[in-house]
Amino acid sequence: MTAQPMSTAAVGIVLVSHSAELAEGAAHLAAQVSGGTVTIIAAGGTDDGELGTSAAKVERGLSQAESGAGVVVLPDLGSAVLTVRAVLEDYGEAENVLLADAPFVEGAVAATVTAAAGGDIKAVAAAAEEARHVRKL
Amino acid sequence: MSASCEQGVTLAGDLHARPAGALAVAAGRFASAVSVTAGGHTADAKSVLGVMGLGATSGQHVMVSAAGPDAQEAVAALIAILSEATKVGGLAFPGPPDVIARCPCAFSGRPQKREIARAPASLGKMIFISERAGTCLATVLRSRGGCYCWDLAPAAMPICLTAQKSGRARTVPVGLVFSAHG
Repeated sequence: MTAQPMSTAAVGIVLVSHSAELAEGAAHLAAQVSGGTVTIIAAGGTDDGELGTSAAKVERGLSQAESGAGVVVLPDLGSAVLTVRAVLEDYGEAENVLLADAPFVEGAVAATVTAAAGGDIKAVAAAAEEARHVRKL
Repeated sequence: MSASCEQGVTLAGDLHARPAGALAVAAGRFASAVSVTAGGHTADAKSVLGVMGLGATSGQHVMVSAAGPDAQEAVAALIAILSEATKVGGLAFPGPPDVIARCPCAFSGRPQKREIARAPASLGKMIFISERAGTCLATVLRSRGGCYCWDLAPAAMPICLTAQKSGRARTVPVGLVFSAHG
């Protein structure tokens, strides 16, 4: 019998929202749909709990979500993208992080399910971005 | 060897977000292309949003089709998930699971016994789910000192493991070993 190697760790997900509640809620939903096996970090709101984004929260999220397979980041609205980009400019392992251009909730769910299925970082980011084209009606 | 395979099932409940997620996670672990057809619409089974978009409901007939090297295994696994996960109170993902052990996943496809890590739950409450695609149906044989043994069936039903609960076999999708709540 040839032992198969353990599959590597799942790709981590960071959800960057202007709202802490929105990021937490999307993370909860994505975890429920995907079975709770993927690390999903909610990075929502400013450092003092207001609406907005926080570079410090994003940076912490990247560290917490990384388990060796890379991290896919989903921003919600415009300036969340700017915050993530600013963090990635300083982040040491930016090649292990992909910023996905995707609808926030659908992208979070699709990305997490693909990560739970063992998809690599590119597959996870692609699943998030393809969410744009899936009709729900 | 490449092959194609299809099988149908009548849903016991609606194909909501969680069963759709369970289906897509399982489908994503196969090399074959896998699709689900319901009500005249077909979705890529690996796309959770596509599967949810089918809007398949209780009593509806759903067809699973696969083409590729593990098509037969993929169809068998997804039919098992559709049969179980859409039941009211079914096992799709019973809340955030407590991950208690990871399966070594060194399966050869022939019947064998394997012990997994220590697990703080009684036999009747265990659901066994393995880490990797291409694993097998298994029946939990016994529990002793917090260790569980299972018997792996031949690889006719990959990525499904069975836990005995009140003498009744239940089949669940593959992922991790976790304890059922309650």
